Amino acid sequence: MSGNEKFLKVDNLVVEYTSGGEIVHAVNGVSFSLERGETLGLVGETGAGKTTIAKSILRILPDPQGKVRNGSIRLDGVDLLELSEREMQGIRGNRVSMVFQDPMTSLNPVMKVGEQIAEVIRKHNKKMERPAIQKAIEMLELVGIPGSRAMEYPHQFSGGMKQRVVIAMALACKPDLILADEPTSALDVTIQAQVLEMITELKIKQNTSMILITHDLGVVGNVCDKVAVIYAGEVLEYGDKLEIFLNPSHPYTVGLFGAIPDLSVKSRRLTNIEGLPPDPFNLPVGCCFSPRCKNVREDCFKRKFPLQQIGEKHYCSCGYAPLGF
Amino acid sequence: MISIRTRFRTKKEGREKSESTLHATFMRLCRNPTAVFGGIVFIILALLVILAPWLTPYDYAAYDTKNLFQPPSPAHWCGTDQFGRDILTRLLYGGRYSMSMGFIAVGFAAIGGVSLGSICGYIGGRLDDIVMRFLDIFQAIPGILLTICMAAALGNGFDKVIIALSLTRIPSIARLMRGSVMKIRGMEYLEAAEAIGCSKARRIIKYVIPNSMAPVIVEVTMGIASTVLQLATLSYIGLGVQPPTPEWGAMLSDAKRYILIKPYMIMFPGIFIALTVLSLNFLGDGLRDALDPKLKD
Repeated sequence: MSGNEKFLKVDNLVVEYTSGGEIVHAVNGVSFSLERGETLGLVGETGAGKTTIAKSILRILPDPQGKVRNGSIRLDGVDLLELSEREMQGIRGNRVSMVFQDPMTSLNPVMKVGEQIAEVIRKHNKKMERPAIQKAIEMLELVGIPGSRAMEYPHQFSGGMKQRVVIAMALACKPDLILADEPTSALDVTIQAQVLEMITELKIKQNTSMILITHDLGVVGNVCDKVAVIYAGEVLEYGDKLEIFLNPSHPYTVGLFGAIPDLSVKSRRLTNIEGLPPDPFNLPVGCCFSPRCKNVREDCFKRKFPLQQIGEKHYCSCGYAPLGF
Repeated sequence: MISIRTRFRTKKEGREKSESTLHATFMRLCRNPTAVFGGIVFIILALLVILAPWLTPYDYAAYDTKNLFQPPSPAHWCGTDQFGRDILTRLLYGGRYSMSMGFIAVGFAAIGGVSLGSICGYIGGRLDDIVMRFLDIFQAIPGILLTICMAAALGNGFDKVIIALSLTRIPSIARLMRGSVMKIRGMEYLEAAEAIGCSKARRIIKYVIPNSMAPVIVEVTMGIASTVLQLATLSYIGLGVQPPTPEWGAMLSDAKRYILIKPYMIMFPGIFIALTVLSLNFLGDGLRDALDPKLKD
C-alpha cells in the first residue's frame, strides 16, 4: 500500500445488465476517488446508474443479470473486483456498509431489530450471543432509539425510526466506507433533516468516508465534500462541491441547478431540462447529453468528450463548457 | 428528543407486544369462531386417540364370538363388527394410525417441499426449470392414482405408505413455496442481508424461509386432512394398512359388505374421518385468514 494511494479509487467502471437477451448499458466508464473521512455525492436522475455504482462496490449486483465488464474498484489499494465471494462477505457490512433507500422494506419483518443489528456484529466479530446483543442495544441508543425496544419487530417502528435502525446496522462494525443510497428519500422533510444530521455526526465521529446517492442538490450542499454528476451511466461533472456549486459548467448541471426553486426570486416557472434521459439499451454515439442539450454543436453528436480539468478540483466532460456559451 | 412520556409508553408496549408475529397470529385465530371450533374438535379427537388404551376396556384385535354384530349399546357405544370387536375401540386405535401417518407423511412432504421450493425459487435458472418440469410431470398425474401406483409398487407396510403419501404431496408444497419465495426474493431486506455479509445459505434459512412460510403452513394443515382421506382411500382398496390393524379406511372397507343390514358399522368410521378432515379444514381456513398480512391490525 503506497502512502499516497487514495482510500477508494474507482477506475473506468463499466456495468451491464442483460435483460431478455438485450444489453442495458447501466454504467459506462465511471471514475472517481475518495479520501478517508470525505463524502462524495452522486447526483443524477432516476436510472442514471447511481445505485448500480454503489452495488458494484459491494458486489451485490443481481446475480445472473448484472455484470461488471471493466474497470477496478480499489479500497486501500485492494481491488474489490478480484476478491473471492468469501473475502467479499468479510468486507460487506464490516469495512463497507450500505444504507438502503426504503427503510420500510430493508428490514426483515420476522426478525427483532436488535437481532438484526446483532447479526452484523456476530458475523464480523465472532462475538457470542450476549455481547452482540449488548452492542446492538448500544448502537440503537446511539441513533436515538431506547434500548428497551431492541426486542421489537420492524412493523412496530415508524419509518424514521426504521431508517435509524438501518443506519445503526450500517455503522455497527465501524465501517471505513458507507454507501448511502438515497437514505432520506422515503422520509418526510423534518425526519430527513434529523437523519442526515445524525449520519453526518456519526460519520465524523468514526472518521468514515461516505458515498451519498441522492437527487437532491440541497442535501449534497449540506453534507458532501465532493460531487459527481451522473447521467446515463457517465460522470458529466466531477469535483469539489464548492467549485461545482459556484460554477456549474456542464449544461446538464446548469439545468439541474436551474430546476431548484429559489426563494429570493419572485415566483415564476421553474426551468426544466427538456426531453428524457437516453434509452440505456441504445445510447447515443456522441455525448450522451447531446439530444437534450441546449448548446449542442455539430460534433457533439459524433464524438464523446473525456473528463477534462477546468478548475483546480473541477472536471467536466463537456468539450465546449470551458469556452463559455 | 424522546420525551419521558414516549419512553414510558414504548417500554410498556414493548413488553406487551414483544411476542409479536406468532402471538398476533394466534390472537387473530382465536377471534375466528369456525377456526376455534375446528381446533377444539381436532384437539378432542387427538386426545381421544392418544388416550385410547386408558379410555376403552376392549382389545382392538381380539375376537368375541358371543357378541357379533351388536348394535350400539351402553357396553359397546358404536356396536361391534363381524368378529365381535368393539368398533369404538377400533376407531380410537385406528385414529392413531390415520393421524400419525397423516402428520408424518405431511411432515416429510413439508420438509421436502419447502427445501425444494425455496432452493428453486431462490436460485432460479436452469436448476429451477429442471426441477419444476419434473414436478409438472408428477402433478399431471391425478394425485390418488399416483399414490395408488406408488403404494402398489413399494408394497404394503406402514413406512411404504408414508413414503407414497409424502412423495405425492411434495410437488404442491414445493410449487407453493417457490412462488412465495420468488415474491420474497425481490424484497430489499434480502439485498440488505447480502450487504451485511450474510452467505447465501444463511439468507435462505434466516430471511427467505421464515418470510415465505405462511401459505405453506395453511397448505400443510389442509394437507394433513387430505392425507387422512388418501390413507383411508388406500386402505379401502386394500393398499394401505393391513388387517387386523384398525385403520379408518380399512374399517370402511370391511363394513361395506354389511352396509344394508348393519349401517352403523360404516357410519361411525365415516363420522370420524369426516370430523377429522372437517376440523383440520376449518383450522386451515382460519390460519389462512390469520396469516394474511393484509389483515394485520
